[in-house]
Amino acid sequence: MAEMMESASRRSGWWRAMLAGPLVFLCSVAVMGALAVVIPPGPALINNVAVPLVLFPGAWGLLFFYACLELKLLRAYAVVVGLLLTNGGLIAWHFIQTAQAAT
Amino acid sequence: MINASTRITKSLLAIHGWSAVFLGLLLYAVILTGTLAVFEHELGVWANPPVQASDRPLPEGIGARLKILADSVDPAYLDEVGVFPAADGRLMAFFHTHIDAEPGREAFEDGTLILLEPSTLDEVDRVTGPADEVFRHFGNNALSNFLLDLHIRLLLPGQWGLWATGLLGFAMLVAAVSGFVIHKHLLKDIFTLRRRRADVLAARDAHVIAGSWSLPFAFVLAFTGAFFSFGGAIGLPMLAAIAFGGDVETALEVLQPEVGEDASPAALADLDGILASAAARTGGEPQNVFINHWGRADALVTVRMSAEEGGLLPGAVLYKGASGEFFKTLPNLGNEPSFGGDLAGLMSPLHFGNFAGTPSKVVWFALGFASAYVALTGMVLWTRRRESEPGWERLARATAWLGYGLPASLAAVAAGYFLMIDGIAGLGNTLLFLFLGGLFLTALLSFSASSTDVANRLLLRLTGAIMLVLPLLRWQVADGPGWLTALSSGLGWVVVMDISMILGALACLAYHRRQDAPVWVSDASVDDDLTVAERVADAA
Repeated sequence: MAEMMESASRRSGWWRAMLAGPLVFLCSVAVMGALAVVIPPGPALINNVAVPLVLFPGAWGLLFFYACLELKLLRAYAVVVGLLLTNGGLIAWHFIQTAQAAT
Repeated sequence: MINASTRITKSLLAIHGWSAVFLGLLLYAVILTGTLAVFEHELGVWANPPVQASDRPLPEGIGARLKILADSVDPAYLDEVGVFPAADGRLMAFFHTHIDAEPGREAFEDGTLILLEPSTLDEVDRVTGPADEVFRHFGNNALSNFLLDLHIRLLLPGQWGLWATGLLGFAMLVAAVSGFVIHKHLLKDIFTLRRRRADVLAARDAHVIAGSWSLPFAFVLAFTGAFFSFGGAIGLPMLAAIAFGGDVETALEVLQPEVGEDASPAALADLDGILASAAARTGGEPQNVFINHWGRADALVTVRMSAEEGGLLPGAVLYKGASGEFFKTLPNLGNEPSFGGDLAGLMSPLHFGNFAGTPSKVVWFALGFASAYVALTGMVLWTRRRESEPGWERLARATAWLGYGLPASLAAVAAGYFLMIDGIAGLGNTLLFLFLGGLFLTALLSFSASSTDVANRLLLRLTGAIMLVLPLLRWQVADGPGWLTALSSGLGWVVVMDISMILGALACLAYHRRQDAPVWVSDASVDDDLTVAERVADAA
């Protein structure tokens, strides 16, 4: 019984490491990209580049701590994957719009 | 004080400790080299000073001198000309053009780099070729460049180095935030140093005190470091594609101020007059100057200025090159003042600590040194507790090796530089091989010693001995100026750095005597009120 519990705990540790490591990193990159779509460029045309760049380490850190500290692993996965898909979708939509405008 | 629940505190303690175990050694290397790189220019002047220092970054008469030099280079390289002081105080004038990307080859700059003495503006040497080759050609800045390469890229090729240091910056951010939250007695920890108690407690208290005082600084460094590394590696290319529909070059072209293309020939206006006008207009000091389309009617002169009095961010002044007429002023980033430009512009002074000259650099150096000390002593405390266990014993040895072997190897690189440099001739990969050789030898010493204490003493003594002879090597072997000559040539930093090396050497040699009789005591018997370091250790 103790062995089974230890094995389950180790498995859950790996799942959490996958979430807090590569998945959270990808999600933070997607958030940075999506911010470039939603933030207006401003008169200097650089707000939509500079602000997401500066916010990136902060977004990454927030998501990392959330992924480490959320008690329910499934909920943490839902939040991070949901954010990844939403932001990734926004970036894809932006590229499609740009391509359509060009043609 | 943050009242986190026991579960959260326990998780954060584990995150804090394990992030250090996995990345602590590399993080220590990045922090230590970054701390030294705060004085990159001063190190450059010390290692290979010009004959006479100049009182300003762009000396008087540089405009007239550039016109003569412009006649001596390939006219294709007049497409863009950049003039800026190198780390050692000499001037670099890079006449170049941009070669577009082709399938299988990235875009690059090709041109002639000319090195000038700052006081006389005499040409020291010149080299022609792609930018990444010509800037590595001369040996005068090799020591500073090596240090920067180690700090920025850990000597890894291409983007891999930026990825590695970006990850380390993030690990430091995680350690700083978790370290702050797990502080139950922040104020007490800041002022608790039990020097009269056992050595183990004094060592722990010193670790916690240094960590507590440098916590905000560590956060700032980690945040800005992650910004620079990941910004360059993935952020900018990705955001340029989203915001400008192309690569970084496309973004720069879009952001270039519009002057209207006119390729008809026209002589460049008085450049010295333009520099004087820029200084009078802003109250700052011209730091470097770029001339686009030299010899054409649409030539544009960009003078980058120091920050105004009381300001934090530098700006630039633009002039029409053909007429010398004022065109516009630019903020630090972008064509117009903007929130994003100011925000991103703040990252640089916050990371490099160069916003208030030498005083801010000294503060950044001290806090950086404290952060390196925290990274190293944290690892030492953590591994010593488990030294009796098989896997941990090796990590304890590795910690001692890199902790004390890295400064020794860096000192050996400086000694090797003085032994091999011949004027400004390039050194190729010599410094890299010296550094790797130093790491190998110190590893041999460290792993073959009878104990980590013996290894540490030996490596500290070695570091001290090498540092002690550096001023002598600089003066006698590398034909550097003596103290009197340096002072009379305005090269005061040479003397300051020599004295710093001697004091550092004496500190290394004196430190080992304090370690002669360590008193290690049982953890359980000395203190019931756990400090942060103790709780971090317990969590593992």
